[in-house]
Amino acid sequence: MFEFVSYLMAGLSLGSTYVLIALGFTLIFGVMGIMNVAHADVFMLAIFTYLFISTTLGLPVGWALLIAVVAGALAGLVVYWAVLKRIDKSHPVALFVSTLGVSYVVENFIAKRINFQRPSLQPIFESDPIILGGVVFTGPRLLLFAVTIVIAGGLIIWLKKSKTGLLLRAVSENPLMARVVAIDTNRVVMIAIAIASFIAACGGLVVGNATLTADAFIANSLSLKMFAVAVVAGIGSVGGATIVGLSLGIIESFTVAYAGSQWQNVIGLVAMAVVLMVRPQGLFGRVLRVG
Amino acid sequence: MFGFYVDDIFVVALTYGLVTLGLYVTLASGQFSVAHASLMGLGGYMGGWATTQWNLPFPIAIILGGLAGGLGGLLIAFILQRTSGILLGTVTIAIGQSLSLVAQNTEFLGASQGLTGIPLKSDLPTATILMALALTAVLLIQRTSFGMQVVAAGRDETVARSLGVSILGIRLYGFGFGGFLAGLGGVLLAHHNGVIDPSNLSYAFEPLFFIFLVLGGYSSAWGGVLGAIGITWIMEVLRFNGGTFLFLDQQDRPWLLGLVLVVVLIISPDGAIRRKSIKTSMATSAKVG
Repeated sequence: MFEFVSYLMAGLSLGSTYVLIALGFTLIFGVMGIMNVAHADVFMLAIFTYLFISTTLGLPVGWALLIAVVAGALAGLVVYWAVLKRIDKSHPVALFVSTLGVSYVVENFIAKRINFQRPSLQPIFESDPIILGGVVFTGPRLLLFAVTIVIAGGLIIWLKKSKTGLLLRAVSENPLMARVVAIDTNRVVMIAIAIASFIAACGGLVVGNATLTADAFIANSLSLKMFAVAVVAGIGSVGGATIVGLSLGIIESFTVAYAGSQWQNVIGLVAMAVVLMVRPQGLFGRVLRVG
Repeated sequence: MFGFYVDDIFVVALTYGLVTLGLYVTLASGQFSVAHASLMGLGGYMGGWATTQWNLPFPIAIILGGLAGGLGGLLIAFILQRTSGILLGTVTIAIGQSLSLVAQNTEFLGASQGLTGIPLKSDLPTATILMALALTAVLLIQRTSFGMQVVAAGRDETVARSLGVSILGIRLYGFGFGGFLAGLGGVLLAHHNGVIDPSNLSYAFEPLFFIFLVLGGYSSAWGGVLGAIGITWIMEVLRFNGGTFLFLDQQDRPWLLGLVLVVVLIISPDGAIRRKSIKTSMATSAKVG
């Protein structure tokens, strides 16, 4: 029983990582109709910005966190402004390959600056583990899970209730019609990207706080889960991504425990293949926007 | 032929050229794949296994490796027959990434060490012959009526289907033949480096082939091949001519190449060198008229 609960906890924190990265990906796809492979790199950029500000420049942790999150959100916007906006929309392949190229540039640039090392992190938030009925709940994992729930819940409510959220949903439903009724689609897209990148940056920091390493190529393994969660949930579905992300984490955790770690990374892929064969629009998706 | 060093670079260039040609075949059939590095790795593992474990002669290993890549491609095309466009590309990334992670965790494939001690059999004549055969095959297929069907399906699947073209057939050809070529490249790579490891399967490798293809231009079969050979040469010459340039050194090459890719895509989304196709020439005349 204790084992079961601790695997469940490990799965939830793993799943939280997937949710935090997939939410922004699915949001960007919803409003822009593009698969932004470079999105996972915001996650990594936030950790490295934090590391740079807090250790190299020696600023207090609070400032470093703030700057890292802002820098993450800005990074997303810069990629949009410098690349995505400028590529011919009638060439989806060019758009997709350009995001691939951006992630290649960012990763190799950062990796070169740190000489292809994996620097380790000091814990950002110190905390004592909580022991309840023999199961150890460590602070970073609880924080990761709490942040995920707050962000996912907040995002869903914001999309449903706020005026900007309504605009965002309108653009994602029908971008042409949204422009016809005088919605500034460019602004809406930029808001969506800023929010998506902000979420990924927060994710980077809380996950970094739990894993205590900074890896320039983390996006390579993370993006696999990002795609799997977004595709299985149905691309554009925020609530679905939350549920699927957490479930994937839990399933993976139990697989590692009972079947062996070599199967961990296969589950997402198999789930994705099955869903695409049986229900191409995803479990929670309606109609696919892009074929 | 030209001395060891030059031969060596040409072997690498032709190896990459084969994979890029495979990528071109798949893209030209209207499917988007980001799994060709993995199909290449699949071929490499198969070929390496054939020469080290089964002690088979090199030519048979080449064929087996090609078949492994082709089979992997067929599987992808079959499973993902209801998926197309960018979504297909995204899923193929995930497939490649999973293959790499599986190889990393599989003991008998050498885990993260990969297959080692592969005999160094790749030489310039073999690579040249393979490339010549592959390019001839691709260009010949393009001239048949099946080749025209592939072009039609690549341009517009719905219209092609309405004209009686079997889309599943085209898709199986695109991924199967493209994967076969990538697999051949993989065998050459494994027998050139003497080792094949999970990083060769991973999608970290993938942007490289897109760089070759985009800079060479993907409107004809020659583009990717020439791109691969040209850029491999430029990279090697930069390496040979010394350590640092301004503040850059050779480990800066990947991100610089990536930057070139992005800039070229912004300026000319069809690739740096464009061949006028029926579609583009009609589009221009329509604009004029």
